[in-house]
Amino acid sequence: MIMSTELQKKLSEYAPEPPANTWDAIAKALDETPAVTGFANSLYQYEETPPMGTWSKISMVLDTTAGAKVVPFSRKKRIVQYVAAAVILLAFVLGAGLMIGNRTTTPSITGSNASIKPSADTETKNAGPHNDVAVSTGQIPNSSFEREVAVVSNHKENRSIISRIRPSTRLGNVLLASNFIPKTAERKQTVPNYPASEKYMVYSDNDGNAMKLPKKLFDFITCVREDLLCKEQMQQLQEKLAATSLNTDFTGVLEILNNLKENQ
Amino acid sequence: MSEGSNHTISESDLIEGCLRGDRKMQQALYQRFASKMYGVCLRYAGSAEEAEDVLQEGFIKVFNKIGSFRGDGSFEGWIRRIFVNTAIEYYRKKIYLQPITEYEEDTLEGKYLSVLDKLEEKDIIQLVQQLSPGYRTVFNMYVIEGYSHKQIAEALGISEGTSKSQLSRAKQILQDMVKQFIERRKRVQ
Repeated sequence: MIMSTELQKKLSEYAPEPPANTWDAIAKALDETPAVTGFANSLYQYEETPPMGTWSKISMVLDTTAGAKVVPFSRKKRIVQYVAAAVILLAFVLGAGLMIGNRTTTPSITGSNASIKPSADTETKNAGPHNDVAVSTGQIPNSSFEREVAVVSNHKENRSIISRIRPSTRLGNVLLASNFIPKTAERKQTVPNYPASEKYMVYSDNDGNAMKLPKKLFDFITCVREDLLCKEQMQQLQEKLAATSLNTDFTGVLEILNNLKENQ
Repeated sequence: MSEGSNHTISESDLIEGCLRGDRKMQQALYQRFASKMYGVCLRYAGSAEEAEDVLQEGFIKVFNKIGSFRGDGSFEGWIRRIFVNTAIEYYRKKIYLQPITEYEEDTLEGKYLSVLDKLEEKDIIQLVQQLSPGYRTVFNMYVIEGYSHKQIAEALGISEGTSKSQLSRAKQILQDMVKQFIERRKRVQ
């Protein structure tokens, strides 16, 4: 510490003589430098009044730039654009959804109209009497058919629906209600698979014999109690059927049935 | 707003007013610094019309960027830097600085440059304006504004060597112009 203090003192007091030509160099530099800095300073400080209209030009530019800085307006405009785009997109999506929905439902109507054409006799049968008809199961317990039956007042517009009631119209003893008609109908792609119990019925004759017969043959084996002629024909039929039961030729049975029907 | 009342407004009030976008305060700031900045513009510009354009552009920059003034240095110095930069930007396309053979400044005769002291500022500016944009810019930046060659090189995107050689060449040309100017004036007298 003592040594360093002495060294500091020595160094601080050290005052060597500068080179002899130092001042000359400084003087020369001073001579040269003011020559430049003199006019440089004057130019640095130089002021001149600008032309008269300069401020009005600047003010005008500031006004236009201030006018152009209507940032909220442009942002709102952008928001409106985004909203419009979103609405269009939403409308497109909804439209596409509806189109797809229509495609799934429309063919059931148009397709059924085009593909299922009822026979002329169905139309003629249904045209008149089924306006404002009521449902009645009557003597036939045919509930599954009734569920399928739908008739509208204008049959020409709903041909496919008419074709559905074909089984019951053939039977000719089913009454239909107008309020039963569904507003929309779906096309049945497959033929309804009715269980065997709905296609056949067990019939018992006066002797108490039970028979399982197709419902289509019902008219041929049942009679109103007072109708003696019917009963007589029925008995003949039964006898013929019994006679041909051993015969495997089914066409013979059909022939008999047709004959009976014609005789009726 | 008269010039007298303009000087009664403090610098901080002017800055605050300009920050608010107060047009009267902007006009007051313009009136306070317009003459000085027009002087700067005249030195960098090739003509009075160009100087007016630079002045206009510079003030618009000042008003738009006044929020970036942090108050560290002098406000006038900040404005001046903006104007110098505006002038450089204005002439950037025209400034073509090609590295030329470097001249030793000692080899230049200081006789005619020292004569510049005796000339009026207007005359000097007219002479400076006759320099090409590149020489004029380097001369203004180094001699008048006091930028170093390093700073000039950074500002103009050139090397320090190019800046030095451009300055040397600018001085030589200016010296010749001063010589001609003095001889012409002698003939007139």
